[in-house]
Amino acid sequence: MFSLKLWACALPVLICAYILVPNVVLADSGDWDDLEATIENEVASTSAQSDLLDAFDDIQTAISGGCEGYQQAVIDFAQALMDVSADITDAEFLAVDAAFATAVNAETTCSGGVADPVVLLNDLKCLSTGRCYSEWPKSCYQGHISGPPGEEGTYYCRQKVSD
Amino acid sequence: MESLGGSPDGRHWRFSAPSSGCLDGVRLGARFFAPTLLLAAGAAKLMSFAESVESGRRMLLLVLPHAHSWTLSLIDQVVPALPFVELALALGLYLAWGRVFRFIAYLTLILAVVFVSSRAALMVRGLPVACRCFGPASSLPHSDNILLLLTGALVLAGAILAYGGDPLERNGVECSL
Repeated sequence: MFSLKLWACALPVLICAYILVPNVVLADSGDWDDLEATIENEVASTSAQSDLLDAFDDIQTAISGGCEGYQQAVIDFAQALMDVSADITDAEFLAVDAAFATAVNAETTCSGGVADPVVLLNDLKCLSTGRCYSEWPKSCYQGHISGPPGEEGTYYCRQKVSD
Repeated sequence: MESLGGSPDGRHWRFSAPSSGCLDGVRLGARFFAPTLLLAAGAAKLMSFAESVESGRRMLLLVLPHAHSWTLSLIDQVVPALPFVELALALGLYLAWGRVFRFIAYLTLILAVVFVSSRAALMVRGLPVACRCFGPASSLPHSDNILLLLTGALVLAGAILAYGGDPLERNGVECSL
């Protein structure tokens, strides 16, 4: 009986920790240097690597330039990632996508008004589970940047859905 | 509260603690606040069902970044059922008593904890995900903050009722003695 009561008290706390801890870790980890390193180390194709690094430089330029054009640069990077997705492996794509999503999410200097982390993490989720959800916006399946169905931001998804 | 004390009966001594009147009042408030809030949330979700389901699914997907596929399948199953679960819990809290009541109160607590934790996780990560928890009313100014406040109160109410029991039943027991 005691252990049942103990579990009854502990369960809400455990649930809270299960939800909060990974998110706190995610919020505090990753930056743009990690993304650059991931591109350089993980992507084998030199042309894909070059395209991604160009898009990455645009983000860095936007950040150092007072955040002007930051959101567009983020979207352009997502677009660049989609464009090279056919030339890189699933593992490479996933590594860059994860680093990208984490870096955008961890960005604090230019975080104002950027809704894209939602999108990026949506897409990351889509990829990491190996499938997209049936209710996913059609634009996600089509693999192009488009307006969102809601107010969360701009959606993007890779062209090749592995399902 | 005089009728609650003065008897050598063990149960009476327990209820004649100095602050029991205040605590009973809090429990009584929780007893009606929790089901009313659940009723409002469930009904509002049903009124804009598709939006609520999509919003709820998105929120849970985001706050479970390392979830396994079975968890994601569970989300698919649970989120559309959420309004009905809320209405059932509300009904249960209004009508049930005894251990069933406490169990329903406990389920309410778990539901509220999941929700509050999820919203807190989104805030920590700075993800601007709108909550359609109260249907069209969720679009009102400051609705997210009000919602967080209400759900925080629901966590408290659920905990009070789940761990403290049904105030109406206790009063009934006292009155009958």
